[in-house]
Amino acid sequence: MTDWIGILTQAGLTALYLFLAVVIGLLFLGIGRKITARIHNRVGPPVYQNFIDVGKLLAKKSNIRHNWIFDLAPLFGLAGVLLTLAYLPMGGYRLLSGEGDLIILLYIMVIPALGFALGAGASANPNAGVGVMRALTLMFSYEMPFLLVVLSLMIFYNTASLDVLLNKQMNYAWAIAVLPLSALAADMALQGMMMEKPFDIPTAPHEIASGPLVEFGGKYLGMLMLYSAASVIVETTLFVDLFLGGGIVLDPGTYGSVAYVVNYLVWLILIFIVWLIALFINAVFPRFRIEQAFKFYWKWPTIIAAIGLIQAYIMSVFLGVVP
Amino acid sequence: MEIMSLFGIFILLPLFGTLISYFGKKYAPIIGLIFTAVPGVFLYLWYGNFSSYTINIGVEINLTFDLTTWFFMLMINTVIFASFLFATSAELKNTGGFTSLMLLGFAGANGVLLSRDFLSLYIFWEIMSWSAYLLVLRSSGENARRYLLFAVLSAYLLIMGIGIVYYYTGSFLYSSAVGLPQAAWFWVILLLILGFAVKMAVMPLHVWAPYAYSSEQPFVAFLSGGLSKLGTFGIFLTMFSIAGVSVLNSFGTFRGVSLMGYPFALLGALTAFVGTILAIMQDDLRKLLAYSSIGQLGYVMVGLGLGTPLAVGGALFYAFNHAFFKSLLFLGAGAVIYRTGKYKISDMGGLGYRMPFTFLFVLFAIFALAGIPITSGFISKWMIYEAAIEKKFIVITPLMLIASVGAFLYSFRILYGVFLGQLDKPHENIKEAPVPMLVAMAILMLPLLIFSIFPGWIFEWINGILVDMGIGKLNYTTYAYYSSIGGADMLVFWIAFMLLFMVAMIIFLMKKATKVDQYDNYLAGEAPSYVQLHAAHNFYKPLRDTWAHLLKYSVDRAYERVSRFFVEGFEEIKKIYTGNPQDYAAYLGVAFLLFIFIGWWLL
Repeated sequence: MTDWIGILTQAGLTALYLFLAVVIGLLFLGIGRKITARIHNRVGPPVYQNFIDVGKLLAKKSNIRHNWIFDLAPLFGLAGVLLTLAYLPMGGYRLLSGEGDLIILLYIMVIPALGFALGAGASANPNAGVGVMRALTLMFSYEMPFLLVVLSLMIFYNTASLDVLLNKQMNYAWAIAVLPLSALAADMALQGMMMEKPFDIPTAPHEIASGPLVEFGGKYLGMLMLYSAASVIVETTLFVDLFLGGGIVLDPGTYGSVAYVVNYLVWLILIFIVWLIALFINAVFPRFRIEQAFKFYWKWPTIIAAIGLIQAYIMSVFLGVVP
Repeated sequence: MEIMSLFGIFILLPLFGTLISYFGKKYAPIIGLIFTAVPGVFLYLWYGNFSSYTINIGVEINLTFDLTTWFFMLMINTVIFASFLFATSAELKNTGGFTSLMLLGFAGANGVLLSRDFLSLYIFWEIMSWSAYLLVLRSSGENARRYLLFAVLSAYLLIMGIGIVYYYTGSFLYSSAVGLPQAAWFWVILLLILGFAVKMAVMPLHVWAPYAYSSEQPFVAFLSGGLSKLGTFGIFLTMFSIAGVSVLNSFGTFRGVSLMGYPFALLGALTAFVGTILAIMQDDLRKLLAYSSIGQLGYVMVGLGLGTPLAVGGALFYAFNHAFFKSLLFLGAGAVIYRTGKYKISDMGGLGYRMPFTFLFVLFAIFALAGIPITSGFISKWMIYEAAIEKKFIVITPLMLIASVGAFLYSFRILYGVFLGQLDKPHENIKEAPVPMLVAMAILMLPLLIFSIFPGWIFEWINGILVDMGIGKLNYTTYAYYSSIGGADMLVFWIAFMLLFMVAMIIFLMKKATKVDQYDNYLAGEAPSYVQLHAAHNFYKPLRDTWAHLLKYSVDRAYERVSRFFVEGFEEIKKIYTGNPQDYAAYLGVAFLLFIFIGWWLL
């Protein structure tokens, strides 16, 4: 018979990690608002403002819906983003990903975005359509350097498994030290992935009334806020897992459960740093137009990522460096 | 099972149906359904009952029913069945002729799949090709001519390859080709692959596809879903059965990949990229799907070219998925076109609210196309990616990866432009597609869902094929699949997805929502009673503007320039017919002198 207690413990731990991730995400959004406000020389809302917002939105009595496709947005959005989190090792603790495959992770990451896009499109508001078009074009832009970066990691560490990648980084060196150019390109791509300025083109509140979000209110908006909070964690964790060894400083094999706690804290600090970098850039930049973003991404980050890829290729194939 | 029963069920029966259904009037598609269902039943009965027959009818020919044939027949049979089901309510003109030609194509396709000798291959290939030509001709002569040009090119390439084999061996059997010298192998493999690649619309031989795919949708579903797989089958057989792995590797290898296969893999990756970019720019629903089909088959070409077990398994799986999702998409487009009578994406909008089932089926097919893990489309994509990454190919892999991101773009263009957004006034009373159409789409959807939960079931067949051909083995269980560098488990994925979906559902259902009219939305304080606000026209304009200076280069127009050169050249030559008898007399004199001089020089 299968080990039911083991499976239940695993499920409980997964639920705990997911819950914590969403809470941390909301906290990060609040901290982000505060920091941006301080940079702009404003007072800004309190750090816990986003918890109040979500609570209020989810408790609203009057909610507006357009049709059944419209409902897919919060459902697919939240379920998809939680699924992505479950596949990402957080603080070295891998939840579901048995083999921890990077490619399935990249495709799972698309599920919430696609569901969101479907729901947004299902309102007859043209702002939503334009917003989704911009979001997809932006995705097509930043994925070019990002995929090159992912490929260079997969070639250098000779694995498509996130789990193995983390282990090899722990034993060898963090990827940021070995492939600094790839890390730079990845961080540039991350800014677009998180849709922070100068790449907040899809939402662009002053141009197209928040784009895809325009028709959502009440519980719909509340769930989508949970979605965006969780996706902050997804994106920063992805960078930390790929380049900063997932924050693993102690080997769980040797130190046991102490290692999990320490690693979790290190991971938390690292994603906060990645989030801060994105915030600082966000606070001082104006917005690109979408075709400028496309040209930018397919030029500089792509060139940097390509150099990183060639470096990984030479090191792995010609120099025979085996991490 | 005897050779006559094999021949009778899969070839003679559809041919008989061709004769009968021509007189079937509007009941013809039902006759077509019967004549495709019967071979389907036998396909089910004869699974595992594989055999090979060589007979001598003056030349030796061979008909073989093995797992490869069975696998491809399964796709083609299901796709044509669904197409006929769709056609029963599509109100095509001259239905008898349509059914008749489709069955003829079906017989030809089955013949191609059964034959293991070049003579019967060529005959059945031509039957299939000509029936497709006549079917394209039903909607447009211009498109048919373009198709014909490339069909003839394909036939020439094939016949050159066959000629070389026959010159050296004096036999048409595939199995007799083993003793060819190295130089001959090069030309045979090259010519046969190029000949079959025309059917798969690999760049630069793809230009017929966007035109041919603009014909009647039930036929296009069969052409794109079914007949294009014959190209895959042909290339697969050329590389791994006629030539075989050892011959391929004798050309030298690059990191374990044959140098004979690598260029085709590169070509496939380029095809995937270019096809996707062009698909993003289309506004005609049929053209968009056509370019998408070109791009998707590029992945199959990559898999076949790489030739590792994982890559070829991925290619076969991808071909299988493509057969189902692409014919489903064409039928979905057909249902929309049937109801609205429009082709342009920007003229539609909001149809998903009126045709929810069509929308759901198309949505699922698009998930499969884009490779979302809830469909089997993901697994086949995954296999080809991992195969390329395993071998550390840094040109092929990025091209494929970015092309699959591009696939999200055009997928959303279909979803938003046709099914979402604002429902326009003229379409307000549109009904759901007729039941037979929906059933046809449902049939095509099922395998995509089932094989995403139980990939092991289809891997059993694919693995059998790979072992038969001596390529290698796949590493899989019922739910999971592995490469040397990673792996994924669909059972964990599905359970987690379902549970988390329920969590989202619980949060969602805690509060009720009231439904409002589609015009009741936020428009920055403006309150127009009615205004057309479907933002689907020129959807990816920023992207198109950025690509403008690259888009002016086109293979299509290059061919047109070549053809114009010849037409103009012949116009010049035509000028020698001046109509003046004295000129003709002068030509005669010049010709006479030429003959004398040449004759003198020769003797």
